[in-house]
Amino acid sequence: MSAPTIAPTPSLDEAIARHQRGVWRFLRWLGADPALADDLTQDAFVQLLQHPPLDCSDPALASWLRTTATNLFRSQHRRGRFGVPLDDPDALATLWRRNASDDDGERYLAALAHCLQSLPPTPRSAIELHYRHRQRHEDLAAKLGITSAGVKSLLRRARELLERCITNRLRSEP
Amino acid sequence: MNPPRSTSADEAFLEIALEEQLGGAVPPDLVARIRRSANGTPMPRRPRPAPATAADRPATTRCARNHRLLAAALLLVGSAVVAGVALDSRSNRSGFAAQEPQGRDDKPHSMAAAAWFPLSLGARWEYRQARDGDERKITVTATAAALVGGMPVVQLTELDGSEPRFSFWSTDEHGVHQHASQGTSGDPLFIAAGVHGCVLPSPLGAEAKWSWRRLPAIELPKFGAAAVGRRTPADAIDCQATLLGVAEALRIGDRDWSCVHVRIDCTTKNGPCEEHVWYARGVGVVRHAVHVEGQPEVLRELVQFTPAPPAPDRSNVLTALINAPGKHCEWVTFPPEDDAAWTLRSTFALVREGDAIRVFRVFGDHAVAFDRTRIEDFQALAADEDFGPRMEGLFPQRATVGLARLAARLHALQYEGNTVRDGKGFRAEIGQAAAKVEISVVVTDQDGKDQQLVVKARMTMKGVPEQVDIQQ
Repeated sequence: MSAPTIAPTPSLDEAIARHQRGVWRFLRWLGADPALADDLTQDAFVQLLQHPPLDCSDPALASWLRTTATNLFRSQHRRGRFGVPLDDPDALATLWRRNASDDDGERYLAALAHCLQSLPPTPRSAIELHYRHRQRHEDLAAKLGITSAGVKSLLRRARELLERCITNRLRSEP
Repeated sequence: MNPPRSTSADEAFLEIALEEQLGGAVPPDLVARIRRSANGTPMPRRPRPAPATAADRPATTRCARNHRLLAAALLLVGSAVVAGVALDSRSNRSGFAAQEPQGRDDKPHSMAAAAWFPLSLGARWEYRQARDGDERKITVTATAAALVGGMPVVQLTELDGSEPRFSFWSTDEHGVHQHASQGTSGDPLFIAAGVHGCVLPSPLGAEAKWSWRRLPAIELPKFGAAAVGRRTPADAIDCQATLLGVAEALRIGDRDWSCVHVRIDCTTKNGPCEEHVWYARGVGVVRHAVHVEGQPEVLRELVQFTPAPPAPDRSNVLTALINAPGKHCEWVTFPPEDDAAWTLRSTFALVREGDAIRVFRVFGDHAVAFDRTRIEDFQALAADEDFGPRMEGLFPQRATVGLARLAARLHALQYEGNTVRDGKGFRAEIGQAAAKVEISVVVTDQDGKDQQLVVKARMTMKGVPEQVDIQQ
């Protein structure tokens, strides 16, 4: 049998298992593509091993890892995603918590899965074609019988509907 | 300080959530990679140096070893290829944009091969396979994983409406590896045959040619696996791989892909064989063409890829059920030689409550109490595991033995037994309607006292357990 995994002070393996998704998503949110997020998540945990913080409680560790990840991302001289305040640590932390809550975004993703089902057919198929099938706007326009500008507007509307639905769903949950 | 009201940051979060939920950009499991990195093994994105000593070198680096003298030259060639591709992708953004949405095409990409072959449990690929005018649907699913020699090996199950076929894969900083099992292609149990090949080395583009060895597939005869014997390294065939492109535009149906294109040449018992494989980042194999001399080409093309659903932390899932954060629990691990390791995705936790030890089962995002004496709990387990479509060939026997061993293991752990080992006696009967097995196990308790157990299990050919009993 493996070592106990619900314990107050995590080992490195436990810390990785618990926080890797959160750090990876955080880096993606900052603007890293999946490959860079892989690499920088790895680097953040290596730094954790080399310079562990004094407070290893779950929230403190998560915060430490996010700060390290931000520094690593900035050291790559990457431009952040539009609207993500890379230079303002406090705002960054608050905005992250507002979306990812304290569960690294798991509830958000569950709400998204539910809200996708409730989208009207046309916006839903636009979202599916764009994100799952990664179709270009021109192909999408041809498939949906609208213009490229119409596709952009349709996708924007679909995302707005999703955001509203997710917000309501997260609010209504305990 | 109050954050600025930034809806853009919220939109950015929705964007990554959609890419994760629908687009396959899911967080990888980096535990092994970080552990290796922390131990001083070079990180995958860097060019690969030769390991310091033979003992340090992982057994799966054959493709690097065979071409050490050419490595420097190939690295230069590979770098030129990557640079060329980068320039090409800038001048031809549409090809990359189809696969990498959100304008990420102006950023450099990690060339870690593992990103071209995602092996998360639950990932599913649907292919259309054509051969000589005959078309069929093939489904490949990442169905199980176990640690073999410290390396996570993932079992892929291929279904085409007949007997399932199993293959075993892993990824690490050196690339994507296929592991040969001694058994037939219809055997879900992995028994290392001592042959593994690096089918796609990391970083992509650093090697223009490489070689590897693989075992030819053998089918399961109707009268049992033992009759065909076991595959050994002596049966292995050499494969020569050539990297033909790292951002090759490929259109399948109405979908554009940017692919790594590899040609593989080998000689099979049926004659010279030429294969072409196209890998797409975050997706895996999108096209695979096999041409054996004198035979019609077999062409497989991706119809749909469904990424693995986000895997919640099992400790969190369990904590949510038992509602006792910080409570001590122990997770049951199955050794790779246990049938349960290759037939079950559920994980089991033991939680002490007073003098008793309770068992919980976690599957994906839900956890339930599990009582090994209740057949209903085994039936719920089988329903989650979706045994039904795989109940052909050797799977019924392996899955039924897996349930029997699971019952024995849980019995031993709940009653403070230390070890479980096989006893003398094993009987399996695979009929038209059900698979029946009887296994003997020996449980040794903490005082060193042995206890002999006989476990009987029966499961219908629809994958429904009917009996899992322990007799002392």
